[in-house]
Amino acid sequence: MEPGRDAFLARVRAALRVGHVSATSSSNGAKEPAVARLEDERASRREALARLRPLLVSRFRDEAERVGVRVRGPVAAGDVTRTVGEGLAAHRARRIVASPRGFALPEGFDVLSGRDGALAADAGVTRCDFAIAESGTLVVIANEDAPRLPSLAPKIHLAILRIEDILEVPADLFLFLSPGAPPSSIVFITGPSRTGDIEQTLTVGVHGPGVVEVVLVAEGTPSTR
Amino acid sequence: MKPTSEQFREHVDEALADWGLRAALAAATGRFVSLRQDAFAAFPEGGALRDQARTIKEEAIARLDEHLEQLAFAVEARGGNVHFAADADAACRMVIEIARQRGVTLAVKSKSMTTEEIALNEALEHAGIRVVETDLGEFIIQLAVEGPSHLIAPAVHKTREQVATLFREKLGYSGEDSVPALCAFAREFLRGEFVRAGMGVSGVNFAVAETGTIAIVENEGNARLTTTLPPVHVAIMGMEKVVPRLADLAVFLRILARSATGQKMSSYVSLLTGPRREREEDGAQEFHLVILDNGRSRLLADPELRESLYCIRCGACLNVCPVYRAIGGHAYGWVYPGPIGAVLTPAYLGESRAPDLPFASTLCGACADVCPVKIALPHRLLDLRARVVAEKKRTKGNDAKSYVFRAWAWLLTHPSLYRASAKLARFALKPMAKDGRIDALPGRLAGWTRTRDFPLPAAEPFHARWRKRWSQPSARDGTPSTTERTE
Ligand code: SF4
Repeated sequence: MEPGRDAFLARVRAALRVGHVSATSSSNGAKEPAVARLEDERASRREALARLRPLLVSRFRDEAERVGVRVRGPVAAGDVTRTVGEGLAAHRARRIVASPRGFALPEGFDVLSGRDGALAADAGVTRCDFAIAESGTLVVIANEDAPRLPSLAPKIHLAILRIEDILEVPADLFLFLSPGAPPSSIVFITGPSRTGDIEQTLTVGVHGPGVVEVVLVAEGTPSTR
Repeated sequence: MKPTSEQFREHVDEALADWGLRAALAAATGRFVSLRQDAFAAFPEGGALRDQARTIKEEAIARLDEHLEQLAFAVEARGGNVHFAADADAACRMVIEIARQRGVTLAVKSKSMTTEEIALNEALEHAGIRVVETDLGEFIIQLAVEGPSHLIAPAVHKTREQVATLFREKLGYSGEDSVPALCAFAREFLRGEFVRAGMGVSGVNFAVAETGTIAIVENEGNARLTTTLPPVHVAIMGMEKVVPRLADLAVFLRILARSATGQKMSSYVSLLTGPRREREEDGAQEFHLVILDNGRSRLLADPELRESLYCIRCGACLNVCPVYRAIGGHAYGWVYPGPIGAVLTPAYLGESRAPDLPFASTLCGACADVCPVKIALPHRLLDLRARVVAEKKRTKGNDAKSYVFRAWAWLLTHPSLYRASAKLARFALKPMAKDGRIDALPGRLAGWTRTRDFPLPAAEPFHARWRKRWSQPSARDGTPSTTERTE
């Protein structure tokens, strides 16, 4: 450990002793469940979410639409490719980057890849790992098959979402992440890229996609996880 | 950013004379306030979540040493690098060093108050590294060579015509003055900078000790690009940003955007853990976390001011503050404006370098009501006022004002004299009054009545009415009569 770090932490320790204050409340914050009980907790939450599913789907749809996201479906797994194609055609996208993970891409588009591909593409097609109904949020996790740029660089983002992956609140996501080190990137996407920096006028697409659309997939599609 | 908080009074005069600024501020803060109100009105869990947020911050700070060690360990375990910086200079040197070793000549930046605090841009430019702010508002004020005027909306004081002129002069813009056209131009221009940059610099909203994850909250997507396109990502955090567990984020993510802009969730929240992993296609290959003290340990050692370290920079206290709404952010003379700025600026820089800021408050309490982590801002301002006054007394002795207040205190503790002088005041002021109100006081008091009336002391003062009421029979069963009027 370098000396700067030791001196830094020593200063923090000394300050903590001098300025000690008793907490205004004694309960603990968000509690990490003990590993042994984690599986039980997940199972019961999974059941609760399954019972709530119709509600969660409609809440997600309402909230996503409220922030300017178009939601299509739910469609059967076999119709996803066609629906994605319709979405792309509606926005006149020709060149696409994609990480559909398990779904076939529609015919008739130039499929680009890599960083340069993502920067040149009209649209990015991704599969979402989760969604949060309360805020209409999509959750996209990076891995070997799921780069970060397709949901970020093009002006259009088309997301495929299984309705089983719709959660209620952010705490559900943290509950279902595998214990141990989280993935390198988990991104919450709530509506298009937006700014109000000039005269408080809401403008979309300032850096990320200005168009975000979701294709909901009806129950029964296998998970990618 | 070089602090100029000592000139607060001059700044205030300038700001108050700028009617364009005042109109923009009134519109922006008014909008944020009502959006926040609506967001919490439709959110019954809000109260409980604020309590939880407060508890988590208390816990995080009470064992800050352990949490920082844990955070550093976790970041390094994921292949990241951690740097501890005692002050602004050290932090800037570390970032320059990282840039030099990799031959970086261009860095892109996403919005971060902490980098403003340490004046990182100036330091990098000085070292020959060009820095481009990529948040649209920050980009605009960087072009205009100004500082941010609001935590959330840094360019709130600029009109579209001013922005278009700026783009024309500095970047050769030739489009129209419409907001979408200006945004589209900025997108294209900045995309080029993202692609060329050798380093991306971001702030941090929360850092998770247990996993080494940093959370960055934004609406534009420029922070995502900053952390994804350049090969090196440097994140700079004040040491108070640490929270113990990943699950704690579930609490903060639900109140931060609601408090700031009334959104349920900001457009983007990135949770990043170390650099890109093996076989991943994109994301920075190298990740550095700079943890900054820069005066924070002084606040930590101060039982009164410690809670100001719980601030999550949502900006809610600014929007409701009557003083901020009139004078805007620049007047505060440093990075942090509004009620929290009036606490942090003297706390970080020393009271003598911002002696007027603790007094820039009506103590109405609106800030404490909206603060998502329940910082008792008015009390902290009172603590700082007491220190400023004590210091003045020590160095300069008593001034005229302190004699006035002492005389006032003496008068208030002598009821019969107080009553006599109130009568005298009414007698003296009566010739100036019309319908019981004075609309122009003479001499040095004239400023008071320029925008409001001064009431004439009542013919029958409060204490007399009180005594009369309680001597009436109806008052004894606890229902004082309210029918008679004495005006
Ligand atoms: S003091 Fe509270 S209200 Fe003000 S910016 Fe910080 S967290 Fe928000």
